[in-house]
Amino acid sequence: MARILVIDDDPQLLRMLGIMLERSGHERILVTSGREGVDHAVRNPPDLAVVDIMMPDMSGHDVVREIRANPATVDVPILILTARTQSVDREAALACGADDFVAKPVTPQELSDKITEMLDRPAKKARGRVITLLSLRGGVGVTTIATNLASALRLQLGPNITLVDLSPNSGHVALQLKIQPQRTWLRLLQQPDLNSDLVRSLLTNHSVGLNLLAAPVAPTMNASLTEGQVAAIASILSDGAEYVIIDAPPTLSAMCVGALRASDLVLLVLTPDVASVQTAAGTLHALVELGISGKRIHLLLNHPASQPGLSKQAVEHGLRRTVTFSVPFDAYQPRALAQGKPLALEDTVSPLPDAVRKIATALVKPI
Amino acid sequence: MKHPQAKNTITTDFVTVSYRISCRLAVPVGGLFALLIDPLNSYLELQDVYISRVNAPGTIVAHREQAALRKDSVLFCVLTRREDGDPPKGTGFFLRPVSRPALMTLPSFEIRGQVEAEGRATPRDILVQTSNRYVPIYDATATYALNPAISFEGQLMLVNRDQLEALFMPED
Repeated sequence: MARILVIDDDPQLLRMLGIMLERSGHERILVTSGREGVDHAVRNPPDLAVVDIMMPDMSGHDVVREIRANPATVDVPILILTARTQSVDREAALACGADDFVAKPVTPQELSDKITEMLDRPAKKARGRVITLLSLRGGVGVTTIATNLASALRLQLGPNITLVDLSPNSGHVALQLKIQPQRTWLRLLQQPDLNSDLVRSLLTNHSVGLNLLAAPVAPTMNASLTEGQVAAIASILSDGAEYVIIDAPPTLSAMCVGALRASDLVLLVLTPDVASVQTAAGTLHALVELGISGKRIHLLLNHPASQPGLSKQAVEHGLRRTVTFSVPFDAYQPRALAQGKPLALEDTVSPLPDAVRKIATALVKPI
Repeated sequence: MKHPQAKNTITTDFVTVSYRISCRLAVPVGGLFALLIDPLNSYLELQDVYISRVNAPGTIVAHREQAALRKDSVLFCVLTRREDGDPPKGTGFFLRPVSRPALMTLPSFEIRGQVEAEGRATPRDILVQTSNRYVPIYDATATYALNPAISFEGQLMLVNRDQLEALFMPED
C-alpha cells in the first residue's frame, strides 16, 4: 500500500481517483488546490504525487518546482495528469521536474497501471548540477571559460562532465577542443519528444573523457531548439552526471531561456569595460523579469585582453553586486585556441587555468 | 455567464497569431462547432484560462479565472476528442463525404490532416460550398512555420476560414 497525494481542482475527477486508489489498496490524500497540495507534501511526504497543471491558485508547474525544491520532497515521484495534452506540455512538465505525464481524459485502469508502474520504479539516481555561462555581449570569452571550466571539472571529478554548446551560429566549443563533431543538436530540431537514447547518441567524446553536445558547425537558418527541448536536454544529461556546463547563446532566445531555467547556477560573464558592464546590468534586470532567482546568478569578470580596463571595485559599484569570480588575462590563450587544447587540460601554470581550477573547486563546494 | 444552451464543459486550446490559450468553456449540444458558428456572439466566454506564447507553448505566462476571446482572432482550435466539436454531418444519400488528405496554410502555421468532402470536391468547393466560418480538419497536426519543432496535434481542429490562406489537396 502506498500513500498517494492527488492535487487537482476538478472535484469530479478527484472523486473518481479517490475511488480508484481506494480499490487499489492505496492510502489517498485528495486536495483541490496547488498551495494546499504543496503544504501537504512537505508536512508528510507521500510515496507518489499526482498533479494537475491547470489549477486556479497555482499552476502544476509551480507545484512541481516547489516540491522538488524542498529537501523533504525532492525525490517524491510526480505524475502529471493534465488536459494540456500536447508534446510541448509533456516536455514542459518533465523540464519542471515531473517524472511522468498522462493526458486527460484517462481511464481509471490506465491511470492505475501508470501509478503501479511508477511505484515499482527503482529510486532515482542523483542528478548533476547544471551550470550555464552567459553573456548577451559577444566576445567576452564565454566559450573559452565554459570549455576550460568543463575541462577543469573533468580533471577534478572524473568522466561524468558534459559540455553543451548552444550557439546557433557555428559553435566554437568543438574548435576549442579540436573536435570535428559528426552529430550536433541540429538533429533534435524536428523531434518533439526527446528521450535519453536520442540525446545521448548525439554526444561526442573528447579524448580526455569530456562529453560534448556540439552546436551546428555552420550557421543554419532557423536553427533553434525550443525552451522545453533545452530543458529536456539538460534534464536528460544531468541524470547520472556530475556537472552539465552550458555555453548559452548571446541572445535571450527560447534556447537561452530554456538553459537558464534549467540551471542550478548561472555564471554571467563580463569584461572590465563600460559596454560590457552596461550589458550585464541589463541582463541582470532581464533575468529577474524571467523569474531567475538572483541567488542562482554569479558574476564572472573575465580579462580576455591585456589592457587593464575597469577595476573589479568599479564593476561591482556599477552593478551593485559582488563579482564572485575573476579570470585574469592569459597570454597563452591564443596558442591554446590555435592548438585546440584548453589551457585547463595542460600541466602548465598560467593565470587562466589557475583561476578556472579555483572556480571548479569552489563550485564543487557549495558557493 | 454560460451560453444559454450550454450543456457541457470541455477543455480546449485556441491558437491565435501569437498565443496559445488553454481553457475550459461551456458548449451547447452541438459542441464547440455550434458555439463558434453562433452568429449572435462575436466572443467566446472562457473559464480557467492559461496563456502561453506560441513560440514557447509549454510555458504558462498568465492565468485568469475568466476571459473573453474574440472569435475573429482565433486561427484554429485544437480538440483532443473529436466528439467535443464535430460539426453535424449531412444525410446525403448519393454524395457521402469521404476523407481526403489536406494541407492548410494560415499566418505562421501549416496544418496537415484529413478533410471530409463530398465526391470529387475541389479545394475551392470545400471553401465556397459552406457558409460556416470554421472548417473542420481531422487527425490534424499544426506546425509552427517559424519553428517547425513546435506543433499541436488533435483528433479535430476547427480552422477559422477567414484566417485561412490556402487549402491544398492532392489530385485524385
